[in-house]
Amino acid sequence: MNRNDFPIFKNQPSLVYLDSANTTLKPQNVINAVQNYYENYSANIGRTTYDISEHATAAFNDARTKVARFIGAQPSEIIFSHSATHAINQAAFGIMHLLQPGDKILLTEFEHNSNVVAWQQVAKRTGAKIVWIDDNPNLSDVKIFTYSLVSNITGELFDYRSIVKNVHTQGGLVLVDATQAISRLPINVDQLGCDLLAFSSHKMYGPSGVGVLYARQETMGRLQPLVYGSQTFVSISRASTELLENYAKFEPGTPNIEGVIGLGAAIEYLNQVGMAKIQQHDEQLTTYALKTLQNAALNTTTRSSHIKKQVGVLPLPHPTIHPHDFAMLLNEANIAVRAGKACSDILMQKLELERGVVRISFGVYTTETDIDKFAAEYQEIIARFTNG
Amino acid sequence: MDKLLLEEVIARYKHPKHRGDTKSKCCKKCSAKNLSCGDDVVLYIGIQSGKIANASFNGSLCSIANYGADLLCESVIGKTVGEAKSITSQELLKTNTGLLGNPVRLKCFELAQDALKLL
Repeated sequence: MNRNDFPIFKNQPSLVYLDSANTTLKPQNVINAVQNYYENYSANIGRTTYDISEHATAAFNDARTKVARFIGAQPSEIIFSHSATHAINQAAFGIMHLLQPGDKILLTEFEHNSNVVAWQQVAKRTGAKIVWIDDNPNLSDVKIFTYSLVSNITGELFDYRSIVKNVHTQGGLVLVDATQAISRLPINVDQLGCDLLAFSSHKMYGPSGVGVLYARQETMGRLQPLVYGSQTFVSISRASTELLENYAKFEPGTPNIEGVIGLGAAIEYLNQVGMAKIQQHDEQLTTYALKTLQNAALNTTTRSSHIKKQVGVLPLPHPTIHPHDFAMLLNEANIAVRAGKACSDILMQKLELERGVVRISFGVYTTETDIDKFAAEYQEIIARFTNG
Repeated sequence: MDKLLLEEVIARYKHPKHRGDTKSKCCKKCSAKNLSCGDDVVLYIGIQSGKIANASFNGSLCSIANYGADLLCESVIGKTVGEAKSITSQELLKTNTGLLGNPVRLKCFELAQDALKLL
């Protein structure tokens, strides 16, 4: 749909890139934005008053506004971090002080390892208890509910609004991991009803090294910083520091300025293409891939009543051939896929897929021809490993 | 990866020379698991007069791990356990050094070597 916007395809014309759930390729305008910063105004932000620094500060602030508008939030509700993992950790350790022994942290089996490990550490430190949604636990005393809006393995889009409502009634907080969803469908934090939402830039056509944590205004007031340092306080003395009471207290030190500016450009790009159109493209490709690959894709239709649809990510397990062997031979044909457990060990354990899957995932540049090439090569590999 | 090496890896996957359970002749057994990908290998090492007389492997292995295990079993025959433990990937791969530059797949290749070191 937008292949010409991505210069990598001019340099790698035969590349079949089916790994956008891992990281997306970068459009020309994002590359230009980062290069423009380096070439024309690569100064630090918020500290000095010369022209190029003012320019950089304005561009950085503009990116914060773009991010906020993209998810229906206010700029003051956006915290920049280094990755989605860092954003999740900021959320988890930032609200840790609200937890008591015996409180429940509710997780789903579809979580990326990043959204499991941080909470297990918080549980260990507080005496809170991790409970899993597929165990149908009693939802009383759930103080935190966190879930992936779109699974990074199955591509399934989830709707947990009934549980969100239940958790909020008890005064609990909800964190949405929107890392896979952010580049695939329109996101609105009010419609989701979440208190916190995390995602990363590099999975939405922006540079790597930038994550975002949205914290609803009243939630941000309850959040404690994960990292402390300069540019975060009202006053400092030998005796103590009085921290700011806004997003700045969560962003100590010099941020990834060019990365955030690049993220702003990525959002411009997504808005220009249109999120509704992107979602439609993803869904059409998913339908086409399921039809083309027939029974090779994991059947994802019956596991959770909260699943709405499948968007842009397909797992392909195979009973005998190792996912890494598929990936190795697909690479020989210049086809890039993810192979293995893709940082989702809990789900793989539940599905009894200890060696993982071949995962294909789509972006705005993916075509049906890409899927055809993959399908043909996939069948060829099975033949090579089983015949003779 | 070099095409010839790839062909050899797949050929060995389909027709390994040393795959199998040789418990009846076996004096010692050792195993290793790659936690990141789920692969596991069991080595069966038969020792006579202080030297390895026979070696075989079994387990759930990708083609590269299978290749590494098969080559290792081939090369340990006639060696002491100490000598066998000191065999390197470079020695096993000989001129096919392309794999040495791929740290992820090299880990697969060395799974059987990891097991042998635990003997």
